[in-house]
Order: sequence, then structure tokens, then C-alpha cells
Amino acid sequence: MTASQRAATQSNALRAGGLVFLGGSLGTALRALVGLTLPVGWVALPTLVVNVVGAFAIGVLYESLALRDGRRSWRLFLGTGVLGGFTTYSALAVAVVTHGAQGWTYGLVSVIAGLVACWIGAAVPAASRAHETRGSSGAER
Amino acid sequence: MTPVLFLVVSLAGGLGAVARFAIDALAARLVGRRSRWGIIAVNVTGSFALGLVSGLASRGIADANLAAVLGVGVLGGYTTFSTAMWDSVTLLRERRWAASAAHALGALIGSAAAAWLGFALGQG
Repeated sequence: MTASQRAATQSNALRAGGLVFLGGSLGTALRALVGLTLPVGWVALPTLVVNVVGAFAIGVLYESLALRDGRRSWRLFLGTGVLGGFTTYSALAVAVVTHGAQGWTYGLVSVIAGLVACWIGAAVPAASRAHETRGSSGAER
Repeated sequence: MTPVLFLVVSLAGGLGAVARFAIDALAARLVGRRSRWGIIAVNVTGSFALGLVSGLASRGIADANLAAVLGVGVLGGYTTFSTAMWDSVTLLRERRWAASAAHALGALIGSAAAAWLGFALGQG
């Protein structure tokens, strides 16, 4: 690698890191707000809410970016950053092991709801695109 | 939560996210292409760490503000549920049912086990 290639790579890495840091901070702020707003409820309701909402959102985002050949910057900022910061696995894991049997029910509900939400989210971009292009013979993915 | 603490927690989350990004990139470099193992490693280590913090907090050892910065902030930003779900769903869409189930359940069990270990250590 030449010196200028190295400099370019470092500058790209710095820029990527900056996008992830900004997005991650924003996502964390939003998660903290949810935690301050919602009651703890069943086991750890705020965590369940941010995780399922975040799973849905990442399905929409990543599928949308893939279909439109979207820019890496959006993936880094919104995906790795915001949604990565908004959702949390550590809080889920601790909730699972500190609430006895209820904890494991909570864990399974979280994962199943997360999978379903992400799956549905990923179906949105193609469905809305098919809806836009009226008259197309329902090209399914 | 004071505004200052809220800001610190948020920025700490940003740092956690960057750490995740770095580890995920490292995993991709080691494997040669983007790998699911990077995020799994992040979530398991992060869950261990939060278990430890929680265990210490349950003993009254950890300062509440510090616990918030580390727990809600750093580790909340470090670990991710959304990317883990995307990886599981990608396997589902590739019709790799067994791999998807193993990925989703394995991550849950692995992270929970790590959290349990950390918590036990924190409780002393």
C-alpha cells in the first residue's frame, strides 16, 4: 500500500468511526429515553420494546439499502450506529438470567418477536416498491 | 437522570458502538468476508460485562451513575439486538432454517450464559 493509499484508508476509517459514534450516541439517547418513559413492567419491558422496534427498523433499512444499492454512510450511521445503539443484547441477557423462569420466557418472546419484526420489516421495501410501480405484474422477490 | 448524565450515557453508547464496529471489522478481516461471529462475540462479551456490573451493583458496590454510564451507555451501545436479528433473518430468507434457529437460539443461550457468569462473579 502506498503512503497516500494508507492515508486514504485511515481517513475512511475515521469517517466511518465518526458516523458510527454519532449514530450510536443518538440511538443510545433514544433507548435511555424509552427507559425513562416506560415502566419496567413485565421483566424488562423497555428493553423488549426497543429491541423489537429496532429489529423491525433494521429490516426495513438494510433491505431498502440493498434494493436501492444504498450508500455505505447510511448503513453505518443508521444501522451500525443508531439501531445498533438503540437496541441492546446485554440488557436482554441479564434480564433473562435474573428473573428465573419468567426470564427465559421473556428471552424467547424477545427473540421470536424480534425475528418476526425483522422479517416483516425486510418485506416492506419490496412491497412498497411493487405498490408504487402499478401495472407491473407483481414481481415477487 | 440529570441532563449531564444523560449526555454522558449517550456518548458512552457512541463509544460502545465504535468498539462493536471495530470488532466486527476485525472479524471480517480474519475470516476474509463479513462474518456473523463478530457480532456474536460482541454480544457475548458485552453480556458478560453487564452481568458483572449488575452483580456488583446488587451488592451496592457500583456507583449508580457509573453503572448507568457503563450499563446503559457503553454496553448498551456495544451490544446489538437488531444486527443479530438481521443475521438470523438473512439465514431464514436463504431457507437455511437450521442455521437460522441455531444462530438465534445459540446467541440467546450464549449471551445469557455469559451474563450469568458475570453476575455470579459480580455477586462474589
